[in-house]
Amino acid sequence: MKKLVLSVVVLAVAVFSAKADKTADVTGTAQLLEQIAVSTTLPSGNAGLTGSVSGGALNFGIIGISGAVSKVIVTPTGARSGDGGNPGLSNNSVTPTAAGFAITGGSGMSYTVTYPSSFELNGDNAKKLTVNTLTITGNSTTRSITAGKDAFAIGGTLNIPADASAGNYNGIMTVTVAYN
Amino acid sequence: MFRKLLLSICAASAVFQVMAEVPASIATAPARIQIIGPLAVTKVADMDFGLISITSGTSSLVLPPAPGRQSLSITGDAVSLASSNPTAAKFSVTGQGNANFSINVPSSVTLSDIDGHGGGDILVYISCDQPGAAPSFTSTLVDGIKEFYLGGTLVIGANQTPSRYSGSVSVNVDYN
Repeated sequence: MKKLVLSVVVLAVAVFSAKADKTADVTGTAQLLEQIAVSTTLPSGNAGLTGSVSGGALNFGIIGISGAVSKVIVTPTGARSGDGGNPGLSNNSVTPTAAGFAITGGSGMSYTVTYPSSFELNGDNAKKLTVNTLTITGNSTTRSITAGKDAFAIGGTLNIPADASAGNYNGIMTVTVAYN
Repeated sequence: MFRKLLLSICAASAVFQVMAEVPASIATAPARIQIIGPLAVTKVADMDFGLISITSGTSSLVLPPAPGRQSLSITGDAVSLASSNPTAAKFSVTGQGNANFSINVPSSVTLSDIDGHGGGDILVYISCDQPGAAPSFTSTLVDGIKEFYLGGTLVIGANQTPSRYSGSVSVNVDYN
């Protein structure tokens, strides 16, 4: 809050000086924007999202070892499929989910979502798995905010090597949003 | 000149402040998967109807899906020889303990004359010892293993040619 006040003062000086020199005004509208914020706490009922979406958790569920190179794909609606080899898909007690994110910010503003091209899951067996080919709701990382809010979900592809070991694998996906 | 310079400095700080006030926001999300042991199905024993003597009539012979030597229930005039050893097929499914799985079993299999005597195909309708099996079923790998038996109903047509008949049943398992 203090920072906001300071910047307004500085801008006012700039505008004043600009006028004195009859050059174009510096627009100060950006100052009136509320900060864009991304959260993994989804609105009730996951409003704006469809399918199996969890607040911030990209969950590939449970699979059985197949002994073959394979992929497990979770779409932004949380639909899971296997590709290449037989990942031995198993839904046993765990529902796969896409990672959902809620945005708050200035109405009508366009923003860009940035997520990693790949990241790793670390197993409790010291093995690693790679997630890549992340996908986002609407297939576009440029989105807009309506009525101060937006929501999107991210899915991805988990790559299973032929020598995959049984275990629990966890990782962190970092998602950044910024006004365009 | 001096004034102009001052102006540009002021403008520059204004721009800087605008950017600083519209930062990016970052969220981190966990991602996870659990990989469990492989699921496999193994044939432990073949299905065998044994030796059957026939006359010219039609018969159906039921092999129960159960362990050990079975007695065939016969409709018609076929006879299961006492010296033969009818047995149900036995399969073993192994995988992650307590995981649920489903198994696909064909409802019938065709047996063909493997001795080239010109006998027509014989149909076997497959049965399974699991509750509700049709004959495909879903079950749980208690202690990581599940065994099951397949039996069947063999249908012998009129004037079936005496010979040896054989066929293959493929079953598929998947975690649910």
